[in-house]
Amino acid sequence: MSKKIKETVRTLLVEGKIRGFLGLIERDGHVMPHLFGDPQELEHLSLGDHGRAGDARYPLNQILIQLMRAYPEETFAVLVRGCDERGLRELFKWQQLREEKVIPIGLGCPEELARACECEKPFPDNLLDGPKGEKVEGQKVARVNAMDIDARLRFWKAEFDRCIKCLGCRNICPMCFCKECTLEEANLIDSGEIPPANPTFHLVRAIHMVGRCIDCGLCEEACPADIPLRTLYKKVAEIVSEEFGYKTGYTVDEKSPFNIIEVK
Amino acid sequence: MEFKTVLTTCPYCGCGCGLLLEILDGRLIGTLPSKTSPVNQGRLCVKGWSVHEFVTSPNRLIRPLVRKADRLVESSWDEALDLSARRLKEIKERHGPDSIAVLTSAKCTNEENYLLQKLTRAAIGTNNIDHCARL
Amino acid sequence: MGECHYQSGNVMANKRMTLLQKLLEFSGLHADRLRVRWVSSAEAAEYVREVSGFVEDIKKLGPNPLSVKRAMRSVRNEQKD
Repeated sequence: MSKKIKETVRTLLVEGKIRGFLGLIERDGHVMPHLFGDPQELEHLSLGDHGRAGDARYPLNQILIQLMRAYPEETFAVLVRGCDERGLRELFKWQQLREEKVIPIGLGCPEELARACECEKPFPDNLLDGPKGEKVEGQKVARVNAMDIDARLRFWKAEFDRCIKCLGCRNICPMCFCKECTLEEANLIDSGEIPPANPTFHLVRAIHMVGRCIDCGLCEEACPADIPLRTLYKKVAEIVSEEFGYKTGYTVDEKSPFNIIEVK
Repeated sequence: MEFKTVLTTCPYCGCGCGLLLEILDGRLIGTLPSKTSPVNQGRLCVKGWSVHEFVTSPNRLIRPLVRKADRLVESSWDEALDLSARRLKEIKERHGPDSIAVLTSAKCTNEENYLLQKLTRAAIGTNNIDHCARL
Repeated sequence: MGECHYQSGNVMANKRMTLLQKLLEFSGLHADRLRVRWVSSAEAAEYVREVSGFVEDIKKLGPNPLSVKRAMRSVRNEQKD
């Protein structure tokens, strides 16, 4: 377990610089999100590795939004990997979190995890511990790009039609912060129908991922039907990058192409 | 200020998915699938995802209601149980035990379901017992 | 562009159209099935020309593969009933 992370958080807590550290705790063989307020609890700190590297990651930024809505004047530290740090930057821009109230505790991902994720940047700039890994070239989007158009339609129909509309992809998403969701808008999406109207249902969500999806992959992990959602959203990121020159979560002063909120 | 997650088992069906209830200052604010549960491995269905909603729903039945003159009136457990027992006995005496059927629930534990089938078979005297998750 | 009654509305719409066309193509649907043109309410002839041209092009592409399947499904459901 990372001594550096423990010591840094302990110091922040003892010196009263933060109200709490939002991270993961291991209890009775299970890993779960937890707000550490007492330095003694850090004994049970987990970094989200259970059976494999990064297989017990949770949407901590989503919980952080809830904490900061309840306690807007408090400062929190939060455990971030490369993707989570990209998420923080976008959430600052979307005004869901206040930059001056968040202290990122950065963790780099091992090669095994970076490969599985096909991660473009498997470490945060605020790197406290863990490796500063290399960019991994993606294969998943390229494989679909290489199909002819009819094969692509067959591929996605087969994938999307397994959808049981659990909304897990949206629920676990650390970047889905809307109070009202198009996916539950009865005038646009039929309720009580499974599979939902495809590809509309999944493309609606894909479009909403513009300037939001930071490629953490929690959606795909949460999908009971094993739909390759990450491939779809990686494609969205590719389009946004190629067409609009915007890379989600990589800068603090640029706004995403669909964002109308001014960035300071 | 306190935020924690509590590991528990989904009450909706017999699968037994592990889920985490998110608690902020004693208030239930959300549900997450347990990544480390060997049953669901970080996934949930739409019902599991919304477990926290029914717990705090104002529509949730938390006290027994007894029908009096076509209106449901809040009553004590003693009154409700006495009435149920009396009426079940009357029905059994007049129409026989097979005029009664029991439908139990996946929201109960195995043990509670066992007790209910015992009550149905041994006390009421019928095999008319079924379960909503007997798919 | 940017002179829309809804201010930057057409700029945003244009971005969304570009994205959606690329995404449709990735999902297995021809991007040509979706088209955006800017025509003022005073340009009736232009409007007719655009719509007619679009109809012609769409006919060449043939029926939408998704609506064909959907129609088949509803026929099947009717037969079941």
